Amino acid sequence: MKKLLQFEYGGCVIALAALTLTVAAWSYGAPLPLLNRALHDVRNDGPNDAALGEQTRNYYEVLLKSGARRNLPAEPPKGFWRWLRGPRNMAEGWISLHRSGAMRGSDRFVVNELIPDKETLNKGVVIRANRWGYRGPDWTREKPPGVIRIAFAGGSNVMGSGVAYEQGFVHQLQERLNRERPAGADIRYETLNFAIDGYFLPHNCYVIREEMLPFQPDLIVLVSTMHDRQHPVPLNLARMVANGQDLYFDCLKQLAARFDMRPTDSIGRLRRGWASVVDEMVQGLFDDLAEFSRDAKVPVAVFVLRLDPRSLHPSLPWIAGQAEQRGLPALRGFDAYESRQPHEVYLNAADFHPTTKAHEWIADELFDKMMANPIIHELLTPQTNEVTYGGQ
Amino acid sequence: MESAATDRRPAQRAAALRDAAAAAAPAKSAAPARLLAVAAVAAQLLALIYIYARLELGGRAFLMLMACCVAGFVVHALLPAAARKAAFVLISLAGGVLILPHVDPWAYEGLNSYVSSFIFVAILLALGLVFYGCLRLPAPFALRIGMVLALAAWLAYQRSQNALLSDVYWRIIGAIFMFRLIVYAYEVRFARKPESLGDFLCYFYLLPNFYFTLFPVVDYATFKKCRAADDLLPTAQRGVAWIVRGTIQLCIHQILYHEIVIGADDVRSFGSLCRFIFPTYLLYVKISGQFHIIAGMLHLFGYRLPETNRRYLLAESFTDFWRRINIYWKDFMVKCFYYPAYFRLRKRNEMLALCVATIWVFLATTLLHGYQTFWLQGRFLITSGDLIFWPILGVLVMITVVRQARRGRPKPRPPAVTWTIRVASIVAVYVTISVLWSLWSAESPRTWFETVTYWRN
Repeated sequence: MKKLLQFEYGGCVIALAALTLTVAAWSYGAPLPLLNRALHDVRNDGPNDAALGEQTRNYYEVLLKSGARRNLPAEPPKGFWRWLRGPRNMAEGWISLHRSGAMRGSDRFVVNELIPDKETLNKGVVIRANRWGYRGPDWTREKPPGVIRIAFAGGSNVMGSGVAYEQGFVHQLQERLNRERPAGADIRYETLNFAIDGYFLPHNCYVIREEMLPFQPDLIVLVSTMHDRQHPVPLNLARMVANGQDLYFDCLKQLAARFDMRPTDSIGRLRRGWASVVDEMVQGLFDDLAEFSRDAKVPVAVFVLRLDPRSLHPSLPWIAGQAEQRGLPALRGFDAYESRQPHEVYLNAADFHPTTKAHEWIADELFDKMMANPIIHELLTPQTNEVTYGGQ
Repeated sequence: MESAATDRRPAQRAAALRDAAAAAAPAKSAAPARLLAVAAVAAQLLALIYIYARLELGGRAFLMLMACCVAGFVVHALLPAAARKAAFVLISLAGGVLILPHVDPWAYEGLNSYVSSFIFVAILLALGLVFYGCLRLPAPFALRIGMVLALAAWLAYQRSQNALLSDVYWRIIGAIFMFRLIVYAYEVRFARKPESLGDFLCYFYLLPNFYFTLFPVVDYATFKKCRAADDLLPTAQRGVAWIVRGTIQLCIHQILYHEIVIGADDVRSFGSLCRFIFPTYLLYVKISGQFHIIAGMLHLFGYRLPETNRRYLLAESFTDFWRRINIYWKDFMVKCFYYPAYFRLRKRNEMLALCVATIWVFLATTLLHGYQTFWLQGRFLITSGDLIFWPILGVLVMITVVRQARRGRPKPRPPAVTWTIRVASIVAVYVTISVLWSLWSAESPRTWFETVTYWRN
């Protein structure tokens, strides 16, 4: 009997049966309050919060991570070897936008910007900046008659890293709106993409305040992802403080003053300080956006975009909730990636930007969510093009 | 065979006679009891596949690996014993063709992905045969190893340029050959007769290696010896147990990873400092879990391999820790580095030999970890954390080894005192290793120091 219960004999069969029954019960919706969270964690193959900021990557995590992003050929292989490698494993110019020469430093809050009127090859696609320093065609400042303009602010996912401009979801939304003409044949839609690779929430709020109004947008959409509440933002802000840059927003200056942050502090200390107030930072910036929206009389919506098909990060509903609390319409982009596999939505094993197909799904979801939001629907289907905006 | 059997001790004679009988007699694969036993093992493996699918542990590539294990196990178990070695090689290579499209779904979709993986597996096989041919040549060993090194250097150059193959394929090549070729060459150096091609192919082309690139350094001699001739099904059942053990460990890892571990930026109190330091070491449970699964999968094909990790959290000293964690790596280091250095220096001074050989082992470990990173990540990387962790651990092990060598037999103590000392030792070792591990895992030593002195910030 004792031998039968040893793990290598009957013990493992008992353990296996228990595990199988537990998983089966959970699959069929049996209430398992203690285990629900544990099983959810087991299924979650994504990074934890510490790893998102790459704070805790031990030797083995590094080994198990794909090296595909770094390991691109010095020279593109030819012939048979090119075929064996596969089309998505060897795009020429698979380097950061900075290294491809498309960007330059800036004295402004955003620190980096695209070089206007420059064309570069990056990740196998052309990145062409218009005369204003943003990706896309050359917009006119003056909005043409009969046009509804939607301006987008965001980071590399919105800019369309790794895909042609026409394949990005911002342009695809424009195409769908102009195809379906929800406001009738007389109204045309134009999307302006102010997104830049490497921009996070503080940068996007700055762009909204400083760059968009001259182009007379009827609606501004800020695209927010889970990274806006994770470690890249504290690191960016820490670097700004370390470089003695002006923090521009009053809420950021107050937070920096609270921790007595100085340029002479170590980056680690500054980053830890910002990490401890990242929620207040998001709330402060949303307060500023709401104020801007009221003053400029332009509605600002927050499109909260899910980028991980494996799980819905808890930051996303939180961000959407914070936007709504401040009267900013929140569009929850949580469904486009549902039930998708990573290789369907990511460019390759180590580049998590959306594929062209994923951009289509995002565009479709954004269209649906916009049409379902009464404020935005009214804005996009006007009789007289007068607008009402959230919170009022 | 009979003369060989009579030379050995009784238990080994009996085992040898059993092996000989099993090899000579046709397998009674049609016997109902045997079929039932095979079905029982297969059913357990199918239950595991169900668990992996529902919990999304490992993804599609891992599910394909498990499917290949189940199908391969059934075929392998029902074949006559004489055919099993060849079957294992074929199953592994066929499994590689089926698994690789899911490991790298970005390369191709559909039929092209299998054509591509088939071609790559053929290249892999050809590469292995070239290595085998070089080491089999009737030439001085120095010349043979020189040829192998020249080919390895050319491959390393291609890897450093990321030329010819995708990152995934290079990882597989590295995972298969980077350490096992060293072990195999060592065996060839001292072997009395040439190694067979069959053993070579079985040793290098291991089915789990097409998914797990971080792989235990299976010893060649042990691999050959542990092949179970007649007790395949008890070995397979043991394999299932180890796979279940590994699965439970992977689940524990996920919970620790998402619920307990915090980053350096979140350390603001003593409690959060403890949460930063102590669970980081526990994350190794993922690696030990994967290694148990790998060894368990090999058990399914009759390889009764020893444990890869043995309750390392209960280590009572640093040498005990070194012996329990990643046992295959320890054995590899002992065989290829420790013993050669120790026996060379022993004649001069026993204690000197112990110390130098121990330090040499940890120096080699540091360098080989960078070497492993090169093949799996495409860059030779030794971090400041490596340069602190391994030397400190090496010194701690060396001190323990010297103390144990000098101490002799321990004095008898009351059981309660012995138990207290054991528990205290386990806690002390755990705390020390946790602190070192958190330092090793930190972004930099400076960041780690700033984190642990959180009150100053």
